[in-house]
Amino acid sequence: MVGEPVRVLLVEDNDDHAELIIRQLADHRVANQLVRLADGQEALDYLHRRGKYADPASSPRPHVILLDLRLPRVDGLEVLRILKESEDLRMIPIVILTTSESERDVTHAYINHVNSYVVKPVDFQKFRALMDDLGFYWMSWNMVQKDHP
Amino acid sequence: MKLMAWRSRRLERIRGFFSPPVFSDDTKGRRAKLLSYILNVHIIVALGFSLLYPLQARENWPFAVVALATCVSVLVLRVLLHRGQVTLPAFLFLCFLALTLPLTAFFLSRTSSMNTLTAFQSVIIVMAGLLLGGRGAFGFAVFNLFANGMLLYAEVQGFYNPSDTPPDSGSSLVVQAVTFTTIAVMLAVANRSIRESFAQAGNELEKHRKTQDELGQATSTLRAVLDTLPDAIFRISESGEIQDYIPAKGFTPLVPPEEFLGKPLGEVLPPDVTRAVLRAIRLALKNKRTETFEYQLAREENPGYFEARVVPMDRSTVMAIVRDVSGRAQTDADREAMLKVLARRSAYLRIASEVAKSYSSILDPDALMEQAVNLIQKGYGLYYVGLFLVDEKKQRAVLKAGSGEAGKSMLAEGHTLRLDEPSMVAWCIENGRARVAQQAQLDEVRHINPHLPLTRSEAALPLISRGQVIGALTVQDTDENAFTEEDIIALQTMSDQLVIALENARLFESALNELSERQRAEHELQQERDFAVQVMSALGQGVIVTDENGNFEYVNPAYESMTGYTAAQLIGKNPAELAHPDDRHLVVAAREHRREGRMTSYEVRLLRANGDVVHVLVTGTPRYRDAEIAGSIAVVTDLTEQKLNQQEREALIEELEAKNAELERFTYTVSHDLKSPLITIRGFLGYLEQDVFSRNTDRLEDDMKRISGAVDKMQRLLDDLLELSRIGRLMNPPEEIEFKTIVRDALSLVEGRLAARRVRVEVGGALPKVSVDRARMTEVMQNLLDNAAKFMGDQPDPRVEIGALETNDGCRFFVRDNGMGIERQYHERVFGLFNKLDPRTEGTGVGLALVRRIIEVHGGRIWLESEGAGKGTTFWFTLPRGKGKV
Repeated sequence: MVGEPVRVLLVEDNDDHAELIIRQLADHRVANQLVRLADGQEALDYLHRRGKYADPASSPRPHVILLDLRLPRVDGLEVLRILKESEDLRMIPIVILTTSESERDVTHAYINHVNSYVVKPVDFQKFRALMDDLGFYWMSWNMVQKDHP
Repeated sequence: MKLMAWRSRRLERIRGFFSPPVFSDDTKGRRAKLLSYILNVHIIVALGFSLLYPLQARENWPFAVVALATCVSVLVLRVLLHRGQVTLPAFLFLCFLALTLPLTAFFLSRTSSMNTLTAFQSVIIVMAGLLLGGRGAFGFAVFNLFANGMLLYAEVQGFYNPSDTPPDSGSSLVVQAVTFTTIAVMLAVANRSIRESFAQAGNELEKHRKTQDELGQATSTLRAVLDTLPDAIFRISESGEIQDYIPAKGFTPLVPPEEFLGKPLGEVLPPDVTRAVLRAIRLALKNKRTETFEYQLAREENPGYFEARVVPMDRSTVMAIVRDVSGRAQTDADREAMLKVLARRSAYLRIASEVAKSYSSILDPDALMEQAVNLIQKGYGLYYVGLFLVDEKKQRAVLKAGSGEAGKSMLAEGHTLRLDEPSMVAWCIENGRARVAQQAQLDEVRHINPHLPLTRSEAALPLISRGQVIGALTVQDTDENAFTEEDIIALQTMSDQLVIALENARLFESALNELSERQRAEHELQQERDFAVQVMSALGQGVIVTDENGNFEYVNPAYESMTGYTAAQLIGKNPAELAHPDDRHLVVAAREHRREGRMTSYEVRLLRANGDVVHVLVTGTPRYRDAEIAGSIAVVTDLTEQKLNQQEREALIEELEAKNAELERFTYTVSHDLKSPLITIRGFLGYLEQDVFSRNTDRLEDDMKRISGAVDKMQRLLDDLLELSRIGRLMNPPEEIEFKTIVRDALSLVEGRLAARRVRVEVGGALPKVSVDRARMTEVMQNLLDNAAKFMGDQPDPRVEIGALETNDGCRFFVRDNGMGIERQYHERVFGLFNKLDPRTEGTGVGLALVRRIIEVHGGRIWLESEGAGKGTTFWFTLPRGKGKV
């Protein structure tokens, strides 16, 4: 568990939510390294190392992506689809972390090979517990692919 | 009249007196004629002189006396002539003349000239020659010479002294002698030659007369023979013209000879006889031998039978010898008897023909029977005639017709006779034979009928049809022994005829009934058909009937209007011809199916007469005729409306789905976007609690801010949602307003923000009038201007342009900025609820959703054009001119 830091990419447009998630993960000292991006387009640019993320040093590959669905410019589901179609990126586990409980969103997410779909609980304790579990599972229990060559 | 007749009779007699008598002896007749003329001349001359002399001079009276005496004596001679004497009066007359001349000369010395005397004497000699022959002439020549010699002597003696004494009287006498002798000789010669030629002519004449007599005799003999022959003889030309006719005692032509002579046969004889005669003529002329044939002519008293022999005479004429053979080899008595029988027979025939005529003309059985009994009763002069028919149970004979009053009353009573009770009719029906009672009251089976008290003899005759006795005819008379065997036979014959006629009438009646039944059935069928046609005409659906070849046999009006063709254009055509070329196989396949006895139902496109396509549903069943499939019957439903409905429904469904999707998106968005602040609030509240508990105050203020921000956001979201939901429900009534006014209102609302960002706004000159909800439309412009200002990016010279274009479907307005622009993929997303392209920009993301909603509620639409990032953005929207759909 302890050893190599786990890199997490958080794509979340809501600053407050991002803060909450980051605090939770920090509280549980799960994410050693976390990058937060505010919209879908930016996330794609980061992962495809385009634009300002062109330097691989500034855009290390995350071990897991936490992806919100409603994102400005490029929607979360669209980001998911593009990533899962990419030869290079599709092995990165993607966890949808959203407020939407819509059946349609769930279905579409799985159709696009999402690795996990999690709904943000409104209740703070539950939110905490979820982030605990999520952190532990993805960043401790779950074997992540080691750094790419 | 009487007077004239008398006068003419008298004239006739006088003329007869002065005309010469006729003698069989030619010479005598001729002489008599001559004498008659001479005497007549003398009478006239003498009479003239006897009147003239006294007028000339009174002293001439002796001449007048002599003339008168001459006249009288000549009249006497005429009488003699008429008595048959010729020679005597001629002689006396000549003597008288011969004596008168010399005596007159002597005594009166007037005609003393010897020359005058000689001239007169010469005339006398000529007349004597003519009247008495040569010897007479000689005699009178001698006598004249003698008289002249006497005169000469008297002159010589001086008794006679003529005034012109010739110088030499002696030589004069010799000259006279020679002259007279020559005249006499010549006369004698002439007379003889005349007599000889007369004799010769007489001989010739005699010969002729003899031949004529012989011919006459032959003719009269022939006539006599012909007259005694019973044959009439006709000379007929090849063409059939009757040229000559010799009557015969035993032959009476149809019309008098003057009516047929010179006329063609056809005008005289009936056509069949004419044909027979012409045929015989042709054969006779062709074969040059006698043709014999017999023929019959209907004459008034009785039919005549004739035998004709046609004998060819020359190339184009025949002689027809016709003999009436009607009465051949029959004695008068036989003939008379035969005639009687014939008369009776003809009477029967007449009645029978009358009955038969009525039989054939009357087809109502009751009328026929009534007519029959009355005809027979009248025709035979009977007392009563009745007709019975056996009833269906064969128990009774029912009176069907009866003559006279008795018949009427019996019919009224419904007179019947039981077959098992004795009566003549019952007996006759039971036995199938006629029964005759010559003395009715003595007959043992006879039923005495109170209606017929005068019956003395009676006969019942069976009516037999195909071996079955169907009834009987009863005939009754007031005399005993009224019915001879012949009468019974005749009546039976008539009964048989009656049966046939009855059968015919019954057959006709039943045929008539059947006919009317059939007509009724036909009428019903017709009505049914009319009903069916009416129903089919009234049907809104098309009905088509095809024949065994699959061609139209019937189409109803609905089908006509469905296809735009008239029935007349369609009948005989194949339905496939009407189908859309791509669908023809459907029609053909369906027809095959129906031929196999299956029902079919298929949709097909038809091409209307005007080329339009019409969708129809064809439901067809095979049509059976005598258990054979012969075409089909199909109902054709126009699906155009259904299709339209379907399209409309589909459009509605689509719209509904769109709405649903929108609603879903809305609820999703709402739930998501409303949840987000809640999560924020709860989350940071949790941290607040935790921090407060652990007295860590570093983050307190920040967290509090976050919470209050989330609450604000939530407040805004809820306000916007409320606003959005109001659109369409809470609208102000549309008003006609200058679009410029709306722009001005909106500009005043966003003035501050525009000024803060130094945005320059240009408003196009010609802005039309619109009919809109003023407040909402101001909201639209406010949002669009706000938006433009918000996304100006780093544009150093921010500008917004507002204008309008007139188009076909209304006004097209635009709001154009030169700001950051929008990438193509976001052109539609920007109008979505809570969609924000830049999360850091202010606003809830409701603005453009709200704008779209307002425009749509006004019946317009909105879209945007942008070349991409940094190229500026143009929002377009339409609004209907005049009144909008509000």
